[in-house]
Amino acid sequence: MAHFLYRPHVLGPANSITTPDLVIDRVRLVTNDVRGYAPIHRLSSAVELQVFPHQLEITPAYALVAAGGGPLLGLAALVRDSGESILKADFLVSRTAWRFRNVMNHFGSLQLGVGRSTITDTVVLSRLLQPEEIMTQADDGGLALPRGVIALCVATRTTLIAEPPLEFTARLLDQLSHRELTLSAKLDSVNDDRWDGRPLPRYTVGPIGKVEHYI
Amino acid sequence: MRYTGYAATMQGVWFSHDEGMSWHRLPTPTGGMYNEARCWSLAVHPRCPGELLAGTDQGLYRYTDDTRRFDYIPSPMDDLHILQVARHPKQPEFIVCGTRPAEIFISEDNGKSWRRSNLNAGTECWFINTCRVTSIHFDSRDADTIWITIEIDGVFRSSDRGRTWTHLSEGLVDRDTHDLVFLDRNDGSRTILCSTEAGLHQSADNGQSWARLSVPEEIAPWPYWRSIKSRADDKGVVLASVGDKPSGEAGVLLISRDFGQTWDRAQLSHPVNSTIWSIAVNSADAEILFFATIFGQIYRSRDGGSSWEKMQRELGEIRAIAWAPAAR
Repeated sequence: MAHFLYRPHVLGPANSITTPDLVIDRVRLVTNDVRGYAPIHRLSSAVELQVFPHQLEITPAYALVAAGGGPLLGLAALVRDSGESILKADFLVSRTAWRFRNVMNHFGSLQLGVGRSTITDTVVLSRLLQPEEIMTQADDGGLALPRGVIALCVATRTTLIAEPPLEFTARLLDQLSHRELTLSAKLDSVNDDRWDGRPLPRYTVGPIGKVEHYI
Repeated sequence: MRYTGYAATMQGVWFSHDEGMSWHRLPTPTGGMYNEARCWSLAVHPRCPGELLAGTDQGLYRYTDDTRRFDYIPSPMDDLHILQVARHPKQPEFIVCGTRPAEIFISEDNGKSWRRSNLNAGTECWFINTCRVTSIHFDSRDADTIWITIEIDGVFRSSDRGRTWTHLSEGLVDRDTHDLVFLDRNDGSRTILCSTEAGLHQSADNGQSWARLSVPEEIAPWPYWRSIKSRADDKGVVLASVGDKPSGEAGVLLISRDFGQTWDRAQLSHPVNSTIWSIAVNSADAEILFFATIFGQIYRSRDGGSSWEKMQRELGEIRAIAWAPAAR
């Protein structure tokens, strides 16, 4: 089964940090209207993406990630052609995250937003599907996801519409703890080339004379 | 002056707070970076003591003494080996990274955003199959000029902050290039030394052409020159490492007091166990230097490189060593 290696930096409220590497092999998308699974290869933590030169919709999402120490709360952004289903989007996920239990008491007040140079469109998480509707009860009384799962709860009404090339930033803001997660990415059109006249590849050799060759 | 030593190894970054006598890593669970990440490169901050950039196989990281941990810096380099990291000495927000495969990435805002440079280095090469960046240097005469060495593709120079590059390998006996040092004189002339797998090369025309320098075998027994550094006092003193081969069993440290024209062996307290891979200098004190062998030995000099003392602690494979004044 295909997988994605997610390498988050989990930031604790006391400025602590842990860095688990998590194998993810199920991507679940949820909104108030839609629930479904999407292919794992669409998940990426890249900061640059190539897209078709169409009008795009960039929609932020909060991400719940299964982890042994308790689910993580992260930030994602869905990038898709305008009008396309969210199930067919590319999912960019930030490599920084929080532990869900550290924000669960004020989860609804967190703000999710997206914008270009500034965050222009935001929504409070209380208006989205709630984690208890996505996760299941765990043995310790908390909430949990099955291993290997990432659930993306998409803020479908908070969308940036633009054409490539563009740069955007998504943000998850915790005003109570004065913390935020950000995800910034650059979207280039497949028709644009960074080379003005892309050169042919070259093969190079080392010694010209009789020199014994090492690495 | 209190200072901190840093070592980039195949098991993360190690720190020394007692002048190299002992070395340790950050706490495993909370250090901010997987403590067995392969780390190839380090860059200290010229103005912020205690701040360090580290290039790894998991991305680029920043350490500060304030947080006492590494913080991941998002960049397009996550799936590449970040073999070199360099901060401009006068514009420290200008950061240049070199990778394997040989690509150059540049940030002009202290790592907030990055652009990939159009460096037309070889995409395949003899022997190591994949070219890689081995050193990055900022020109002391021109803030917009960057020099790099590529293994195996010679020397490149950019005069426009990495937007375009000129390939400068005419006369190099071997394009397996490792490092550069520059001597700029008051009369405007410049000499550049380049260490290669096939000996030391010199350019007197700003890299347009190179000529191999002859160094007696009794001084440099092998042709494999690796790290080369100018001592930080601008007196023309250069230190260079020569080894039997990259993953070999022997090496020497050479010192020149006339910018490469003649060389002597530096006095070491113990023989090295392999090629000296990295030499650390810092303008904060030209008399304090460190070097590390690829197979884990660390040596310190307190007299500007004439004599060296081996530190007791040995680490795993060391790819870079650095030191900087401590924050507090």
